[in-house]
Amino acid sequence: MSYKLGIKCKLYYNTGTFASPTWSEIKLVADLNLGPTWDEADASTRLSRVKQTAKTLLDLELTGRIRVDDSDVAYLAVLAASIDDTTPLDIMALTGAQDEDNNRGYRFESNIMRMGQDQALGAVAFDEFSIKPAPSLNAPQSVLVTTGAPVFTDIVP
Amino acid sequence: MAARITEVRDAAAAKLTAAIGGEAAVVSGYTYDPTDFKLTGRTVFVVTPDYGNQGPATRSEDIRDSTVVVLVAERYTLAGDPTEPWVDDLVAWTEEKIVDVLDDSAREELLLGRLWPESSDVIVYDPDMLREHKIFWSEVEVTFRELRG
Repeated sequence: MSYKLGIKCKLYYNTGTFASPTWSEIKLVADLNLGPTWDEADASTRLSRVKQTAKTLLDLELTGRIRVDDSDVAYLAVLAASIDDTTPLDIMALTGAQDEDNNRGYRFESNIMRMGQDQALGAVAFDEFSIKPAPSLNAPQSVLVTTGAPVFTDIVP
Repeated sequence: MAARITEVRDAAAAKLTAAIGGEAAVVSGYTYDPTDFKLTGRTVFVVTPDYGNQGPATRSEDIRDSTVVVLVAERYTLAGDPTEPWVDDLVAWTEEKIVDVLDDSAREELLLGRLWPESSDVIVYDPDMLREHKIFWSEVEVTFRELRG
């Protein structure tokens, strides 16, 4: 199959350590948007009239929706992390399962910056969240599943 | 294992039976005879003609609808044409004992602990059945919705 279905993409959180992670899937995620975007700096010179742009900092933000469920362990972990600002939540977002080769994505220790809730009359309650990398001694990583397991590469200068 | 739609039908029938008490016979199943002109007393038929999937709600659950149709039937046994008060009573009874029970806007008690009434539609009476056969015939259609993987 050469295309990826959004519904098959996976969001995980780590219940182990950063060095030896144990990934639990967050199954109640609905829509999810992963939007790595570089900040830009003008690097134009007199060499050419064509503008030249350099990458400076990478904005790596996950936004999405998760169904409210008081009995779901993963939802409760995300909810707790949204209130706690001392312990970041180690998350991994992939284009598929963590044991299927060639799925790729990102992994980082995160802060849940927003957890708004839609309580419209006719709706099932969902939380809308924003997840951003937290200050950490562990660099955010790109991920590529290889031989059945995620392989992590630090995103460093 | 019973099909989900069968479970929904039986749960709806049980809820109606509890609400109606002995005021009508509640019958659930697959067949009913709209031409059974020898109906005695008030009968409530519970049938489930369709169900469907409205697409994903989350990565692990879909929005699934189950339609329950409740038919309220009673034959006017007195001489002459059915009277308006007789029909009025049945219309009111159907609203109170069928529509308000199944289409509970407060969502106090979810069907099977998971399904809520998403929408309802009522055919108040069938004029041909009333005029030609002296049978009050009302159809209440309630669509129940749940999130299910």
